[in-house]
Amino acid sequence: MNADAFNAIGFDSPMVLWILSLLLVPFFLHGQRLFDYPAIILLPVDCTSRWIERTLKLLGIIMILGLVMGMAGLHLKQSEIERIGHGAHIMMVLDRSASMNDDFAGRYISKPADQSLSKSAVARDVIAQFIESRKQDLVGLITFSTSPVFVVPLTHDQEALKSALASADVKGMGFTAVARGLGMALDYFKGKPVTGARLILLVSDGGAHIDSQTQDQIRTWFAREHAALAWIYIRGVNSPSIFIKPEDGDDSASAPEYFLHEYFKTLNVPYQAYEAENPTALKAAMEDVGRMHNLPSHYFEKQPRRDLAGWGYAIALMALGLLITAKRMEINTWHA
Amino acid sequence: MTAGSLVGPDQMVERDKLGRANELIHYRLDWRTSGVRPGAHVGRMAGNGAIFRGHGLLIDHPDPRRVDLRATARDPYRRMLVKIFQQNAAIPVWVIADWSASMGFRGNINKAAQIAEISDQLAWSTWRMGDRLGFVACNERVNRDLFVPPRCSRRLGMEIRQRIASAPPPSGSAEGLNLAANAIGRERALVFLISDFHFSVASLKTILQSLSHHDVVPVVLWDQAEFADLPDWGLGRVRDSEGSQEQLLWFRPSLKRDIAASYERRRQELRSVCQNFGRAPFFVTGRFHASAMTRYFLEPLRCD
Repeated sequence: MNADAFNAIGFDSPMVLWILSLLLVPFFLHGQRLFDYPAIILLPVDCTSRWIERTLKLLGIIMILGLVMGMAGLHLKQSEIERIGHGAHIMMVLDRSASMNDDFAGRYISKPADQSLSKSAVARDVIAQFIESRKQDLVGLITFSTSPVFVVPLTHDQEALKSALASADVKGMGFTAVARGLGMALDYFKGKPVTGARLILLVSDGGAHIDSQTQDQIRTWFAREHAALAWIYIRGVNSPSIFIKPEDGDDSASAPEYFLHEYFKTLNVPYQAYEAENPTALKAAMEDVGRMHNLPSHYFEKQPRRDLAGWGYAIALMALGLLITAKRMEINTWHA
Repeated sequence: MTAGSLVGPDQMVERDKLGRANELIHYRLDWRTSGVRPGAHVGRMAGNGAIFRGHGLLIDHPDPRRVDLRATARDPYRRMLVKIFQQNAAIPVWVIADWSASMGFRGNINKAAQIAEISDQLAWSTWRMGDRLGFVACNERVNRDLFVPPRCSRRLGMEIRQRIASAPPPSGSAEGLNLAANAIGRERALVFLISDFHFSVASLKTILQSLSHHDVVPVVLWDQAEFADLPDWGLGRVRDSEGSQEQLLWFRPSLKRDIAASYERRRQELRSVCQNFGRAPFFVTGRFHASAMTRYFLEPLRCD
């Protein structure tokens, strides 16, 4: 409860509150039978009796207060509590193309018992740890190869996310359709209110050429959905770097990674790119992304109306019970 | 002397055909009245008494029956001497009753009826002794309706009874008890001050001071229901008869003990104050017994 607590209280029928004037009644009336006694001065001072008298008065006031609150329909109004969270809405777009089955050295992993792990297995492990460490985030998952597959919408459910990741364990196939994966992720954000930082986390081991028409469309969507982009490029030993301009003669078809990176830079949204050449670098990149997107998000949480009339009646009933007990304890005749 | 310990078995006072008590209150004085009316008490007047006062001349007291031959023979001046005796005189007896609201407490006994009972017995006893009895009741002031001037009459007890029965119930405070002294005259009297004495020690001293010319017997009327016959358990709200004070009491054995102890302290206090003014108080906490009152008069003043 804060200083606004008074504003949070409401009554269904405030007119009933006039009955609160009855609160003065216990000060003037006691409803007890009076016995004339010749000499009060000779009675010893009895603190217990005095406290009982005060308690009975207080019980009377509490009872009236409880009843009136019950009748007036006391409730806590529906309120919106402003909350500041640190979560982001992270849509992971995970590459499941055939090349992800290779290890970082570019060898195809055929046997699961092999020493080195495939890129997709490492990526899954790292993503799983990432999800674990980001409990307050909403995370969704889309995998893509030739065409994108919508796996999990944005959720807090860690179990679901882990199961979804496990389902991506199936061997990758086909090639890398980055544009369609991004398109699906952006489409998911479409039409939803922006309640947290949006991030599309693209994890892939290669680029693909995007034609200029699609480039424009994706640029428009990014601008509309206010989504940031992070690209973790899982680079094999033989793959080209995205930061080094290729030799002349190479174009977006032969060295698509560099050109994809250049294109992402022109999106006018926050964009980071990481090159991960081994599992450790991949992990570091993921941690970096997590840090960058740990900005506070600001949202309102609705608290439903809480009816307190029942409590009022319950308190009144309790007080009334005690008062009736006291009434029953009253003596009717003076004599023992 | 405490009445409680001396009251015998609870028996009705014997009454004659007219309903008067046969048992008398034998009151005894340790002072000589200066009253002139013949009566049963030792007075200061010379006259037909039993107590020898001295010798006088026959010329001054011409009653030859009283001639004292031996004294005449011894007299060096050869005068004829006669014996002179103290005249037995009657005294006025007054009942000053407290008619304040606290006397209206109805517990085991009715205090107004108790006053009537005591006055009736006193009236009967004073008539037998040849003394005059008057009755005054006071609350804030002297109650004129209840005023009975002193006289010696067989019907007096009945009259006081009827007056009390037809009077309005006790009301007000006991502040006017010291005004009773003005109503009872200047002749030294035996005064029965009947009250519950539920007022402050200062008021008590003022009252006793105003009556210091008289021989005051404080008769304390307490009801067992005030301090002993209390409820065992329960809540009860009491209101002071003479004030607006109210108090809720949770009756329980320990409170009963406290109240009884409080009354016992009050008893000691009353005793010490009243003894300083001449007589110990006479406590009546149940039925009034004339024999207990007689014993009170026979008992020497106890100084404790």
